[in-house]
Amino acid sequence: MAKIFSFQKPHNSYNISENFNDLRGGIKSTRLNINNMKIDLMQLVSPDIEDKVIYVGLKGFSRYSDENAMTLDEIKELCNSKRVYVALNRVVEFEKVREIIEKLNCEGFIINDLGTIWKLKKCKDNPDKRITSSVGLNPVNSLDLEFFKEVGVDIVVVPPELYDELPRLRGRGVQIESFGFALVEMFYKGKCLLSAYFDGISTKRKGTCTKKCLIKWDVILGDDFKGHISFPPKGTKFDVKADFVKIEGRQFKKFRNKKVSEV
Amino acid sequence: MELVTNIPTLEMMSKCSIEPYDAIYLGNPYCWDFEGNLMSNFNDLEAAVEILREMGKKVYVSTFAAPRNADLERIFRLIDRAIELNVDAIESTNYGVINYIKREYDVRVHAGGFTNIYTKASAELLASIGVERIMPTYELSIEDIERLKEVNIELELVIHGKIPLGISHNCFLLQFKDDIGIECPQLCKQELWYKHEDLVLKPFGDATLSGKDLCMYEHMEKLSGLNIDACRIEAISERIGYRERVGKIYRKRISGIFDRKDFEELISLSKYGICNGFYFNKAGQIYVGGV
Repeated sequence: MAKIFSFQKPHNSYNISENFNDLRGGIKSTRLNINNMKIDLMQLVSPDIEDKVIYVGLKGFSRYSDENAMTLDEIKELCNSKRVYVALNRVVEFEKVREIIEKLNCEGFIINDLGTIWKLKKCKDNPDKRITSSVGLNPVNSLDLEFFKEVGVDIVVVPPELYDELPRLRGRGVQIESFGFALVEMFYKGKCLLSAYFDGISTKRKGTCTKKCLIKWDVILGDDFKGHISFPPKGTKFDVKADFVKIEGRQFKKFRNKKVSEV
Repeated sequence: MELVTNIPTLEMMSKCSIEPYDAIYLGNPYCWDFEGNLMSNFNDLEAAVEILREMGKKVYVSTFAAPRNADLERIFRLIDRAIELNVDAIESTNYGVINYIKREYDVRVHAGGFTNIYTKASAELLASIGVERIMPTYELSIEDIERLKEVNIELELVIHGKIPLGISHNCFLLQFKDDIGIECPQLCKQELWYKHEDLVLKPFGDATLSGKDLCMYEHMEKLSGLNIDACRIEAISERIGYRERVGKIYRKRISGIFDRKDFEELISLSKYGICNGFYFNKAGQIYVGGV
């Protein structure tokens, strides 16, 4: 029987299929119904979400969630009653991002390109918008956080792999958003080109991923078969203390197809 | 146009393998523990710099690709040593480290292929802090790269070799050591692959590389049209003879000579075939014939 190598699990890891509702505790679903609009939330920042901040995806600009992402008009309406952050975390050129931002009266944006953040902050027409740098920018040390602050980032999303290092990352002049629940993947988020390489679909720019990490790969030494390996994302709970806590999972149907009443 | 490559250790550095190139990146940025890594063996680094100087080559030093806080002290020591050795540039793929070097030292900085440079805005940001050269993210097409040329900054592109496709927080190879019976740091000197039907990957330290060799031999005129400043042979995981052969072939090719036999040799040097990467807006593993 072929040897099956296992992708190294981080501590606290769960299989994706189990315990998700338990992990989420009192936190509500990633899918809400507010003002009769279905919203596929990027993340939840508070158990009391309906009174706090809401992160939503804009169709065509958000990773993963076009199916449930919102239109400009829907977001504009939502902004009348909620504090809204809009995910523009597919990488597009600055001019397109600026065009969108000028049309939205929301509290802030999530952006996945450091140069775009820098140019937005230099614009005098958007002084009050708060900018969150996407985890796809892969800040992995204190020098990154300091530079992101200089560039104009207000909130930095740090990779889940840095969970143990959060205390040493604080105090850099930016707020930190960390994962309370994350899918720890084969590569750092934002540093994976497998979809683009095998299928021509850039996760960074098209928003979707063909999940080639899930394949059962043969491990070959020279020309000799040694076993199998695959790299399924590991659902992992983190007991974090950060300015914002992110709950991930919307890219997997298991986590997405739940409504508030079901949780 | 500068022809460059990368060499991880002094042992992998022969005069023949260096000769075709104008400049060499020293060190393996994907693993500190790689045996003889020039990033952490400073006596070897000094010897390597001397050899390159004697041969009239430019010297660039690579730094660890995804440095966490625990890596920073080692990176600072490496930068200090590289400055003492008066190298021509330091390469980093980490925004924080890049900014730190430009703030603290007077040295050229090259932003490597995993810095996440997708847009003209990011190229402008790096130019604004004084970065001299960038390698755009590997997944940009020729059209995307043309836009970056509008920024006043040097461009370096990979023209041949296995391109990095991902960086992990740990080394996947370590889990094989007991079954294969080879310990770190010898393990990554073996030819290990992941295969699934015709899909192939090559794990190498914290990075995973393409199984196929990106090959732009037939398409050099298209890249020349971009007026790029440097082209790289990615050879960090390759045996010593590969760097020499591929370098000689591209040295001829850059001077305008196309030889079908050279192209066939490039194909024969790649165990799992060639591809064009992302230059033609297709899946990176596809090869489009040219010329």
